[in-house]
Order: sequence, then C-alpha cells, then structure tokens
Amino acid sequence: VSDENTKQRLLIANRGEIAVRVARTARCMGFETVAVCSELERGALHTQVCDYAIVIEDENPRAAYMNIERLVDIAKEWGCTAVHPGYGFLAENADFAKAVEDAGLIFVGPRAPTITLMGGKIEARTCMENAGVPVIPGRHDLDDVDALKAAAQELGYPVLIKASAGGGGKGMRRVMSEDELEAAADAARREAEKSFGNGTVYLEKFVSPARHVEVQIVGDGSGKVLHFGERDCSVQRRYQKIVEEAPAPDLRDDVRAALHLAAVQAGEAVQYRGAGTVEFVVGPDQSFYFLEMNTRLQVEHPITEEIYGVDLVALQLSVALGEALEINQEDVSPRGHAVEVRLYAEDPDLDFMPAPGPLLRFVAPTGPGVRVDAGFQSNDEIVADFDPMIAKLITWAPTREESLARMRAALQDTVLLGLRSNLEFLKFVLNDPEVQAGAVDTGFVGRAAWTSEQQESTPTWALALAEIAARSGGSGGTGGATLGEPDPYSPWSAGKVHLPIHTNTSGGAS
Amino acid sequence: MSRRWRCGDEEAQVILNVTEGHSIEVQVGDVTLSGACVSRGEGLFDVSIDGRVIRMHAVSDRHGGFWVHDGVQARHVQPSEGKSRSGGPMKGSGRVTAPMPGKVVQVAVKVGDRVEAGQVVAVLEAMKMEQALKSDVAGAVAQVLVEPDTQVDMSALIVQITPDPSEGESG
Repeated sequence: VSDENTKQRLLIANRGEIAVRVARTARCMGFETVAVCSELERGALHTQVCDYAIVIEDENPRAAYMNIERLVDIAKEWGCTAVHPGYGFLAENADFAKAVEDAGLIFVGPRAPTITLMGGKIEARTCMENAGVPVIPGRHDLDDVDALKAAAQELGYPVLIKASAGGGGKGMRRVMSEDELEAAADAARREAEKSFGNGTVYLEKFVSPARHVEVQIVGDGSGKVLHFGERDCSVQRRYQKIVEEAPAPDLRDDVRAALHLAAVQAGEAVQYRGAGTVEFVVGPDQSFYFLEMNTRLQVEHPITEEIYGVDLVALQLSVALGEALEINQEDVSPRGHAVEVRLYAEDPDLDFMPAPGPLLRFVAPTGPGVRVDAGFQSNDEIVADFDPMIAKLITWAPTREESLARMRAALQDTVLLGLRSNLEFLKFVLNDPEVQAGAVDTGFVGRAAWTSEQQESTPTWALALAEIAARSGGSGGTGGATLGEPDPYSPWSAGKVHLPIHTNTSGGAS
Repeated sequence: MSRRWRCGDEEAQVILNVTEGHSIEVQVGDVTLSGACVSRGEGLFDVSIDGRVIRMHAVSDRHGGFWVHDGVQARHVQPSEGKSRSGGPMKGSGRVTAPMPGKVVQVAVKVGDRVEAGQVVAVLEAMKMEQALKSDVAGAVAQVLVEPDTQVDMSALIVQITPDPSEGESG
C-alpha cells in the first residue's frame, strides 16, 4: 500500500480501544493515520497512536465523532484517502458513508444502501424473511396504543419493544404484561429518539431461554462472501454483551453449519462489502432466528481473530482498497477457543450504571494467550459523555477449559483503581459453575446471585495499606499531594534493600 | 500514631508499628497483621507475608483517601471520623439521590404524594441510558428538588421522602 506517491492516509472517526486497534493495523499496512477527539480527550491514547490528532471543538463532546460535515472536512483538509468509522457513533450511518464517498474518499465499510437496508431493523427483517432466513415473530406499524396492545396480545407476553434504528440495547425494553406496555414503549421511543434520532419501535416475541450467537462474515463487494465462524455472546447485562466466546459451546454441528450458511447467504444477497456480523437468537431446541445484521466491525471481533489467525481490520482495509479476497472458505478454519470480557467503568451493585471517574491506575494482564485491547491508560479520565468501556481482555487456548482458566488468571492480574468497575463481577461470572459447564442463555446475569458484599473478604489488608500509604508517601489525610517520590526518611523506603522473603538454604523442601 | 479508616461498611482504628528492618506489624481493629513491606514509590508496595510476596497498590484518591489493591481486589479506603459511617445516604433515610452525574428526564412524584418502597420517583439519564430512581422507604414526598431536564451531579438530592413513622428514621 505504501509507495510514496500513493501513500494512503486513514481518518479514524472513533475513540477508545477501537480507534487504537484500527490504528495499529493501519500502521502495519503502511497507512498514515489521523485521529480526532473532543476537547475532553486531548492526549488520549487513541490520539497518541495515530500520526496526527485533530481536536474538534464543540459544546457537545460527542460531536467529535458524530458531526458528519466536520469529519469529512477534516478528512479532506488533512489529505486522507480513506475513513474508518470503528463501531458505534457513525459506523452504521448511511449518510456518513455516502458523504465520505461523495467527497471522493474510501469508506471502510459497506455501501450506503446496504447500511440503510440493515439499519432499518424492520426492513432487515423483511429482507431476511424474503431470503428464506427464519426471523423472530414480530409486528410493526404500531401507530397507537391500541395497535401496540393488540400486537402484544397476539404475540403473547413477554414481548420485546425494540427501536427500528436501534442497537446495543438502547431503545429496547422487555415487557412482561400489558400494564407495563405503554410506559415501556414511551421510554423506548424516548431513548431511541435520543440515541438514533428515530423513535420508531416494533414488537418482537421474547424468545426465552435464548442464546445469542452471531456469525462473522467478510465480503469483497462483488458477491464473494466468507464466514469466519460464530461467536456466543449470551452473557449480557442491559442487553449489552460482557463476555463472549468463540466457537459457541454446545452447538450441534448441523446447527453450526446452518448458521454459517444463512449468514453467507444473507451477505451474498446484498453483495456485502467489508466485515459484517449476522446475529441470531438460538432457542432451547437449537432452532435459530435472524436477529439483525451489524454492518461494521463488532466489539468482540478479536475472539474470531484469535481462533482464525486473521486480522479482520486488515481484511476490511484491503477490501476497501478494492483488492479481491484472495482466500477461499476452505482455506480458513478455526483453532482452539477464545474468550473476551469487557472491562467497564460501571457499578454492578447499581444495575451496572456507568461509573465515570479517574482511572488512577490500570495494570493490564499479560502472559501466553492473553491479549489486551485497551482504550485508556493510567491517569486517564473515563468521562461521562461516552461509553464507559475501558478495555477488552481476550484469551486464547487450545480448549475452552484452558481459555477460561487463562481468563480467570488474567482477571486476577488486572488492577483497576480510581473508579467502580465490573472487574469483580467478571471474576464472579468466570467462576460460575454454569458458565464453566458450557453454554448459558441470555438470562444468566439476571439470575446470577451477585452482590459485592458476598464476594468481598474482610478488607483488613486494605485498611492497613491506607495507613501504610499515608505514612509512607505523606499524602494521606489532608495533603492530597501525589504519591510521587517515596519518602527517603520513611523507615521502609526501598532503597537498595531487598524484601526479606524465605530463602532456601538447605536445598530441600522447607 | 493511628488513624481510623473506612472501607465500605467496615471501619477500624489502624495502628502501624515498624518493628525491625522492613518488618511491620499492623493492628487493624482487633486483628494483627504482620509481614515485611517495601515501598517502591508511585504507590507500589511489595508485602511479604509468610513467604508469599504480594504486590499491593495504594493510590491517593485526591480527597484524603486511597484506592488500594491488596493483591486480590480493588477497594476504596477513606479516612473515618470515628463515630459513625459518613458519606452516602443510609438505607431507609428517604433520600433519593443521583447515583451518578446525569440529566433528570422525568419526575414522577410531587410534594405530598404517598410512595411505596421501591416505587420509581424520578428517571435519570446518563450516557444515553435511563435509570429509574426508586424510593427505599414508604412515606410521603417532602421535597422535590429538581425539574425535568435538570443536570445533576453525583449524589445530588433528587427527592426527599419522609418515611412512615413505623419505619423509623434510624439507619
């Protein structure tokens, strides 16, 4: 890609871990990279890993990643040849894809009409139904309360109210009975209007217990579509995934093959270009229904990369540059098992409410089969204006059991200080016998008997440490000074002294 | 020299003695911990207990307390005044506060309304997610301190409920 005359320059219209991750591959492929950020995020990690960083000044920090006109202007002004949207923000906004292409730049993603088709969840359902892919029973055209009630009655409770333009659980509500229906629909509409600028909602039968299984596809835009297997994302809270694994455990081989085939057919039907994910709900009898198609890179794409030994961002970029897919389906096969967890600044005791704050310290785990995709580093601020995900931990091992064991160890080795996080909750999930035994359904987190009090041992050493730190650094109590230099007068200041630990002098077991 | 520290619901007087070299003895309430401790600077402490070496962290929270990691998990430890637990609202106080900064999108009660424990009194929006704020007591609404569309800080009082007499006000 990188000959001086045809140097490609990529604008990454995103932030956090995904901007960092995209920049790393782009750099390896010879792209120059341009980051954008809001004023709150000057110096953020994603601006450090790119060659150039542009601050977008606006009252609303989200404008840095949502303002189509300004992003396209910046791309042109900075001589960019391509734009990568990451996920979230404008990643599934057809107007953005069109604006980028109208400006003569490459959009790293599918064509605008594909995004429009799949972005309208109602339209996507219809498209899949026509293509012979099973969809969840549902109703749209819900103009008034009476129509809503009648439709819910017909489907039978519980039902899900979903935003047609939705995703990521926003604008979605589960309704158990008719007396909750109207209020839930109003809340869903409000959330959808706010998040997606479109308050259209529809109803779906709530399949329960259900698993969430999705298939990764990559298309070259001329009709060739490959799949890279499936991922199980059933461990969710607030309809957002927190633990994902690939391949999906306890799936019958014929069901697995049928899922892959359905996903490839879905991609072929629209001559899909780039990386996409076809999501399915799998019922207790392993019957499956199309849920939606995400026309972008997924948060959980690394687990697919780990088991297929493929760089999905590299594939995205080469397809975007118009290169044909040189690999064929028979060339790719999965190896081993991968698990991903998402570390969030959120409070598991308060229904996983976001808990922004200073990330005073972040020590990431390492070791064989451990990958960390982080968007932040120590002393960064997790601000309230954006999604509170701090990092993703990914482990790979030859078997599921070993992969889970590596993840448990990785979580143990992770230090996150300064804010509430879901770290302890993730440890709890990974230690759960149901999770260790195999597949769980999407109701798992709701059933899990989590309380932080139950998890925590008596914080004796924690209380002792506060006193030790206050005495050693002199910054406890009133000062508020940073614990920069150890106090040379402190009686246990390190100096060159070694920590006294057991010494084996006899050569035998102690 | 000793101080009183609090971590969640636990609090204790902590007395630290440096016995010899890097050996320490810490009395936490009625528990005595002993080991060896070396400060590595930057809030890093290597602690040796019974032959195990544990990397511990203690980072100032900039408000007199510390975020600590004892080798197992992260905790927030704050200085305590000694008499009772300070800080957040106590259960049964009837104070409905914002669990995080955000915008109040809906206020579901007015002064004088009767509410049951668990009833939603307001809806807060933050990071585009809506969170229902519930009363932790049954009682009467004494004060509503916000209007819809108000931006509130973390811990801001949203609604004050006077608990029913039988519930009492002791926390």
